[in-house]
Amino acid sequence: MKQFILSALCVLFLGGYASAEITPKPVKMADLSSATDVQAIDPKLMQMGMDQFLSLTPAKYKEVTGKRLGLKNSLALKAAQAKVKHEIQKGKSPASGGDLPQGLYILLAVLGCGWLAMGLLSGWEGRDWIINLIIIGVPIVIGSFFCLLIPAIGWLAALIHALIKMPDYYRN
Amino acid sequence: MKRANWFDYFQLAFLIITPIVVLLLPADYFDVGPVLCPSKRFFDIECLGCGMTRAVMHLVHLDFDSAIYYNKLSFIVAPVLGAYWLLWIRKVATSMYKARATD
Repeated sequence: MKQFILSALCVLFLGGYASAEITPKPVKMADLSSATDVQAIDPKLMQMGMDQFLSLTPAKYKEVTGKRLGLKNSLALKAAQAKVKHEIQKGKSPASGGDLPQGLYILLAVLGCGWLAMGLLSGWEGRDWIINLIIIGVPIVIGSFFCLLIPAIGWLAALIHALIKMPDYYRN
Repeated sequence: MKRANWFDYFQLAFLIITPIVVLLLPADYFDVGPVLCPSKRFFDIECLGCGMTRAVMHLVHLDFDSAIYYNKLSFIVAPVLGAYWLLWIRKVATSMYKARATD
């Protein structure tokens, strides 16, 4: 039993690390719709590279420009970074709804097959479907030995994950 | 007869030394390192507590811009932690004082 649990945990962590290897495509700041938010903070930020902007903090800003960012702009910077990141991730997902109707996506998610819907919509690329499969799969396997409550918790977590990720696939 | 035991002394030393260590460490001490929050790690979604350690560390060093950047709730959490720290010191000190008085 110990070996089995250890193997399941290994699969969980290896899956997480393997999926983290996917690298984003290079995107220019000016091409993004959130560029206006970035420009509102400081127009000089538009000249930054994407990675540099995403890792920018008020301390780094002060280092580069010699000026304080201020409380309001610090909050705006964080919001802009989240927007830019979200936009890049949206751009990464190849499908925008695909052939799978939204109702069927929800039904599959409720039935514990959210990973199937995500996989079909993303062309089995990205890490969403892997994460969803791990969330529902591991508790089912472990729970079948111990207690039925564990798969139920896994099912609920997988359902929440699938619903959180749904806007990424049906953004239009 | 109640006596102040080693645990009281340990608690008091811990409570006094910890803030001194935090103040002596650089404000950006916790800024680099692996992401520990499971929500951030697996789903790339920040939870309410994400960045709280970094934010409080910056707040303690009076770097308000960075503190609000890492977690705006740090402006609530840090004073609460401070108040709790004072109450804890008072409790331990009172306990030690009472133990001495009964000696």
